[in-house]
Amino acid sequence: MFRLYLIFTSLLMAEAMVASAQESSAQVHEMESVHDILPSPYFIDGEHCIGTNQKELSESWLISKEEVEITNKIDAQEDCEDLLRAFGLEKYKWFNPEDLESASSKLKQSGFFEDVELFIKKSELKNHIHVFMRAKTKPRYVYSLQNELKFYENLNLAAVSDKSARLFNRISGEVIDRTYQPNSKEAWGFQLDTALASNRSLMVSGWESETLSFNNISEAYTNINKNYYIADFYFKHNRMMSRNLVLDFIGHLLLDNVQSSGPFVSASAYVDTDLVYSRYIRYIRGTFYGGVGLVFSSMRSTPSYAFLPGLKMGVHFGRDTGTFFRQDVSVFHSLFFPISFFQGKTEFQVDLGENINGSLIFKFRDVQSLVFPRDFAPSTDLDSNQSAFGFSKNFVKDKSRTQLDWRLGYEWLGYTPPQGVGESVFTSLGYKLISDDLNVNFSFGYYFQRVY
Amino acid sequence: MKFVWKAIILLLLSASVEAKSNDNRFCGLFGEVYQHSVRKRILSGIPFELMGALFGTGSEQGMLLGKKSVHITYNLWDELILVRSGEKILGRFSIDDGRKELCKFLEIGMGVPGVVSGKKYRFRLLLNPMWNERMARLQIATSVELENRRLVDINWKKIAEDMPSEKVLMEEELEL
Repeated sequence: MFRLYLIFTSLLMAEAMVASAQESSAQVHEMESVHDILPSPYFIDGEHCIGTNQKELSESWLISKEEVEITNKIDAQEDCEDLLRAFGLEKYKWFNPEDLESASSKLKQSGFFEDVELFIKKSELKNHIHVFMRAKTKPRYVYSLQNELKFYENLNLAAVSDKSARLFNRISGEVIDRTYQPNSKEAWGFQLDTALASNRSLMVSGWESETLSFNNISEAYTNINKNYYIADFYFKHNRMMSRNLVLDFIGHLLLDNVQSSGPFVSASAYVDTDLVYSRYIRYIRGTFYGGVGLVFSSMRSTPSYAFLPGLKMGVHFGRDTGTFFRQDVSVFHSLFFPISFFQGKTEFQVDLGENINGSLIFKFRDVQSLVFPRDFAPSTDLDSNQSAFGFSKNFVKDKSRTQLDWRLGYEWLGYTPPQGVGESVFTSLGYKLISDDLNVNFSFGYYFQRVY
Repeated sequence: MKFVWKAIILLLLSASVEAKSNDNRFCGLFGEVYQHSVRKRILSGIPFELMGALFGTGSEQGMLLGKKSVHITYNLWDELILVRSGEKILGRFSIDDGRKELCKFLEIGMGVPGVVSGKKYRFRLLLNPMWNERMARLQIATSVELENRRLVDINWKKIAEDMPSEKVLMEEELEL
């Protein structure tokens, strides 16, 4: 019995001694400063990308097969190095292991790839490494389709004794090719505005006319009430300069029949270049942009064409989901013509839980000195100022979100005299689907006759 | 008499084995995850974080009760894993010892406020969790990926509950 007791006690003591030794060894580790044994920095000898797409030349009578191979190889390597530089890693420089961790996290979060991982391999010398990025690209195309339908019982312009109902529709579509993202991205799109008026004759100062003529005071009124379309076709190319800096190039071709009565179509073309700086500060995104726009357009008052270079800049500040406050402001001013364009949107959204959001929205848009024919048509958003509140319900699935949206608001139209000022109370219903490769947005707004 | 003593010793031993069964179960499960995912990740040479997070079940569904996180760095030249928690060094060991050593630092058991014996809990092993300490250390912000994934319902309470991460390596219901 005593022997057994001795065996037990000695076993317990031995266990206690082992535990104490382990504990003291752990304490020794804890006492060591992290800076004493942190891994040394790494020197990057080479960078390699696996699975990303690069633009490739093909053989022709101008360039031989060997030259094509070499050029493609060099271009691919440059694209790879540009991409990793944008995420904070550069060849022939020293980096801490945590810099690699940070770059890896930023790449993962960028959303540019379906999946992406970084790994390193030893180079010839100690602490010299090669960095590898293995990526799985996302589906090549993203499709967007939007339709906004607005019905006015009566535009109710103060300066016009007009009882005409109107229907405005804007349909737009876009295809984004992200084969080469994030280095570059391309998009093709269109926007078609159409307007229908139930009654196209007007009583203005005792003068009735259905005639559409230029350089006449009646022009403004007839433009308000005529049926018209404005079509905009565009091509967008953007190139990543760094992780926060993107260069945008957008070429537009516009066709419209706003100031014509027959088959005559006026055309405009313009090119926008924007340098866009975006940065996330915790959960908030800030975007600043500025650029030069060059417009080639037919003029309103004379059937001539002119080049209208101008400068524009803007700011977008806020978040896109949950509870947020967002502010957008943009300004365009022509360099040689008295044309200014000013628009903004303030949005405050509250996450009410259960995927329901409440929102308050204020929008304003002001175009000074109307010059382009399309500026003289009361399109869906020309000189429209709105205050609205609303609720939206979201249905979130693994990789998509569906949103139903209802709004009630007040709109006042600040058309340049003599068109006058219009006011309406409106309600709208919207449906939105956002997924990785398809975005759809439909809305219908009903604008009541003045009810106050 | 000898037989009685043998029986008592066996009983005592079986009780001790029972008490440790949960620990062994966790380390057993972790061992599989280590072999399939963690080991490969370590060998990639890019530092990363693992977090063990314990969530309630039933009426406490989704409630985060406790978490333990480790930061892992692997040196390609001396082939040693360095494990840290914040500024503290928890250990340095070889890749083969990682399987049993790491499990100790990530296991969450009794002693966590609100955790009672005999109740079921959900344990998640998260790779690179989105939590304040890591985001501040790496100076990264939650951006497109997180917002796209969650799309609407980013709210702080939910983030604390769900603890979004790059990947959930293990999700098991354990009885403590």
